[in-house]
Amino acid sequence: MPPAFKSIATLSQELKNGEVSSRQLVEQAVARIDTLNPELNAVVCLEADQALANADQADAKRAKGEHSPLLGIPMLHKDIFCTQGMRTTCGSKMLADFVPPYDATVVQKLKDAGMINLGKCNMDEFAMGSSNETSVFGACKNPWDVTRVPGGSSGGSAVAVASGMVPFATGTDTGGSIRQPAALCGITGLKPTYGRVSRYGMIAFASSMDQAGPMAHSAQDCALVLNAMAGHDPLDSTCDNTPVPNYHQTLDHPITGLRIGVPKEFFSSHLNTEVATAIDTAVRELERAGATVKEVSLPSTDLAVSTYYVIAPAEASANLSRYDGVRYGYRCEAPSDLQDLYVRSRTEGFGAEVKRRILVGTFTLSAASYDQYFMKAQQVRRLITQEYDSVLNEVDVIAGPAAPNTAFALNDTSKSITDMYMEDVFTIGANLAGLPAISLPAGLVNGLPVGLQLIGQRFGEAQLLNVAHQFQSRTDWHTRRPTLEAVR
Amino acid sequence: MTQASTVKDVAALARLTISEHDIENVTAEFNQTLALFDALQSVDTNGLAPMVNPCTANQPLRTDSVATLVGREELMKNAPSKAENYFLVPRVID
Amino acid sequence: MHWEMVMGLEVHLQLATHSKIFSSSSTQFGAEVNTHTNPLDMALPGTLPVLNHEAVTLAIVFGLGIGAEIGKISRFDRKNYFYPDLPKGYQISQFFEPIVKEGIFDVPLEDGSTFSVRILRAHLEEDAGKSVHDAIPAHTGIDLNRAGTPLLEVVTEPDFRTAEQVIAYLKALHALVTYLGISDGNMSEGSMRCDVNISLRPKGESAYGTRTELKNINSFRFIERAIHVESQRQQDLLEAGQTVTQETRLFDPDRDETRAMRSKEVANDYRYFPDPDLLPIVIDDATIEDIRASLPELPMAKRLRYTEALGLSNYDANLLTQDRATAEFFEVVAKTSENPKSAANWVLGDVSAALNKEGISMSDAALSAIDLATLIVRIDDNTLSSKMAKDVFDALWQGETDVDSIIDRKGLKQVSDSGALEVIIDALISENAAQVEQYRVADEGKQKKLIGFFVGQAMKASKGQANPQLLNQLLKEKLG
Repeated sequence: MPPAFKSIATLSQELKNGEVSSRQLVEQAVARIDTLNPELNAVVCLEADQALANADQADAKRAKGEHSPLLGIPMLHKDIFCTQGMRTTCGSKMLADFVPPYDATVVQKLKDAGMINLGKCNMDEFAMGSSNETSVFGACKNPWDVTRVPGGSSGGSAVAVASGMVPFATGTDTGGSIRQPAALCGITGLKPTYGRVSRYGMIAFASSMDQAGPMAHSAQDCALVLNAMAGHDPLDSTCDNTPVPNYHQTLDHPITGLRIGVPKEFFSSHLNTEVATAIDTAVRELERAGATVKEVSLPSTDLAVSTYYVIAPAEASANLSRYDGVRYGYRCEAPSDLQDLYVRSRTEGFGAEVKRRILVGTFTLSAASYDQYFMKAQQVRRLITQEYDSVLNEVDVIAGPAAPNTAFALNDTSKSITDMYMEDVFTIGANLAGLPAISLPAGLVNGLPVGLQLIGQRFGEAQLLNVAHQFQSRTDWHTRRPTLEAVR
Repeated sequence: MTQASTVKDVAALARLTISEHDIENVTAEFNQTLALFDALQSVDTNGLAPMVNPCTANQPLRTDSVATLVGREELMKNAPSKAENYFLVPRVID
Repeated sequence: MHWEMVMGLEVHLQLATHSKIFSSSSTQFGAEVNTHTNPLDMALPGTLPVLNHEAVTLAIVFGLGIGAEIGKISRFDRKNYFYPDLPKGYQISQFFEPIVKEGIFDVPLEDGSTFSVRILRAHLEEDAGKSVHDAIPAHTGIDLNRAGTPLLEVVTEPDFRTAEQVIAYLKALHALVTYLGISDGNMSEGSMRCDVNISLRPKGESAYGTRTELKNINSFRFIERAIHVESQRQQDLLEAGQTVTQETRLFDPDRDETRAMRSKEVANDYRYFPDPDLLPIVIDDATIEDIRASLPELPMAKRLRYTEALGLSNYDANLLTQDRATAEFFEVVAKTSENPKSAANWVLGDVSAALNKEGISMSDAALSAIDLATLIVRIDDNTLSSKMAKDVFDALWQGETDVDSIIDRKGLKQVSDSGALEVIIDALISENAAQVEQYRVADEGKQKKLIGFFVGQAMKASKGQANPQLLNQLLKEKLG
């Protein structure tokens, strides 16, 4: 395995053995970013000097005998996490020059665990998109085929890991923004249970669904990082204080007797047949590993898209009101009065997709439409959650595709707005219900990765990672790497 | 079918403006999105409590103690217009 | 036509917490611009609210204080509107499920009767920052020190018909919240702000007229005036056949008029929805009972006790219970002196006058209740005449302490020793034989005047220290 593609687990062992230094790892990462990024556009901020200084500190700690598994491992943050003193844009012109005076809890926790942050990853503007094309920095490209999208909104993070820039990047997932790009780029991405990881310092899109999670090559690496990311935070009222298990410890448990449910609604007309075949094969593999598989039903699967696209934009419309050109962020030139300041700053500062969602969200919350749309969607959300809960009473894990298709073409004008929204049809259920879900590489269709999605019980991350690791112990899809011929 | 004028009103409420050039397109997209929501209307939601958040916990409470996490200068560093430690906006008349 | 005023009140009380409702910034008044701020108060991206326990407790204290139902499960909602001193572009408030539900608040009137106000609800919310219009030329400056200060908004039904009722309610509410210690009630610092919804209707009509909302009036006097001015404006409009526009208006005390607020001209749609960053506030019965057990005696109960057990008038009881510091001071004086009526007279008389003169409140006064009680005891045991007592009071007010040592130092002791007084009287009788003769033949009326003459002379001779009652009695005997 070329050094750039090594897992955290491997790198950690090499650091421990003194085969490599953290400085060397950071230098390699910076060099690889310098080579690949002009084409892939995955990284939008690189602070190499600071990272090298931190790597030296990590090496000094290792020399003194510290051996925590993440110490000195290079990584990148999705540009949605506030990083003290490091520009944080959320992929928007609105925050093009914003330098936060504080660290997000996730940033702080990974720093505390000794990881070396190199910079920030490209993303859809304010995490609103499934292709990474709504970023103010422009599209990010899929390393498996640079004419295709990497998925979104955590597209830059997926590409940074998939192309071997860093072994790990943070992502956030409101409607599939970790899992869909993980699937499209052939990596492993976990969206934890809502409330498992603090949202403090993570720029809000839809507060009741946003959740941060790890994106890496394997379930094992995700487990190592989630150990550091998860846990109670007094700064986030919705962050749960359920104890955090050691996710790494249970990876090797056998999955004999595990009950897997495959929702028939996930194999509908939305799903590409070749992807369906790959997913089916992957599920059979789990069966061979000792799991029992049965068909289950989530009748409201299609409704989830409508529900999500009412609730998420509504919450976003309020969350994005703070961008008014007053305390930080983009401000229009020479405003004539207060209203001019507001209207021009916001109209010029936000991109088209963000404005589209603010409009819809403002509309569904307005007095005349609240009951018809917002309230109704909140009720249907309850219904969908009940369906998931009821299925998860019968089975331990729900299995299915993460995305209906493999990576689609960049600038695909044949896709309507609502076609694009349908990209999330299999992922948003877990967000609405607040359940943990993981996407892991499960095959290649025409040379493009396919992601198997596993949805677990509330706070069942350990089980999901265990199942995913068992799958990865029997298959090698997660070790497949793009050739990157077109890039070099 | 939502009219362009309604879309403009909604935009005004959100402090956004839509140019005459874009309004037709924006209205069409707006209606396309609303059409996606039609499916919700036929769902029987009788007796279903609206779900605000998947968290089942109660609101945690913070002890009433004072702490300053970040100083004023740092907090105001990103301000596009400030003077004498105020954020500035064009004069507002009540 | 005769018009009837119909008013409902919304009072915003700043709760007396140390830190803000959702952040750990200080709530202290008068800090340097933008220093009582944290990332949350500036609405920096990614910041999240965490609820202050004390704000919840104080809201429950208020609810129990007015005998209202406490919302066992309440929630926070977002009220969306753009204004530069509202950093998030929404205010976190309680729209759908408030923490305090319906209650009845009995407001005492001077004649001893009460006026019942129906409280519709009281809910927690965050205050906005301050827009400063005169600090920077051509600009409005934004100071976020106040942003996020916890407020309890107390909303009444439209139960008020006169400005007097409004003022009585506000005074009683002020007394209640300062008693409960949930707010300092300081109107000039904005700790208690009042919005009045006001409309007119022909007398006898049951339907409400169109109302206007008078915003943020910060003194009792201005509220009374604003109501008068606005009701007159509405009456003029209605009598001229015009209509009242539903709008928010500001009272301008300099021009003695109300005018529509420009910033509120556009009808807003606040798009209230439950705040997904905050979870339900669940209050169990044990918490409510614990808080109930810790409540102080409330003004209404005190008034009743003052009139029934202490024998005070309704009027005095009302005045004494208007603020907690005064009531507590009075109670110590009354108990220690064992003379509640005299205690009430002193507190409402000399003490109140002295406070007014210095423009301070009871809680700021240096005077000790024990000293005042001792003073009353010394009057009651005839050590001091009432005139002497005033001298001692002045000394106490100037900061001296210990009544008995003041009496000693000033040599103020009243002479109540009949032997000493008899010496003086005997001398007077022998020096004023003519007056003595006159007295003996005079009628009752004339005798009174002559007694006055002798008392005056005896006082002079005793350097003002003779006990007047005893002097009178002895004189009558000797002149007999």
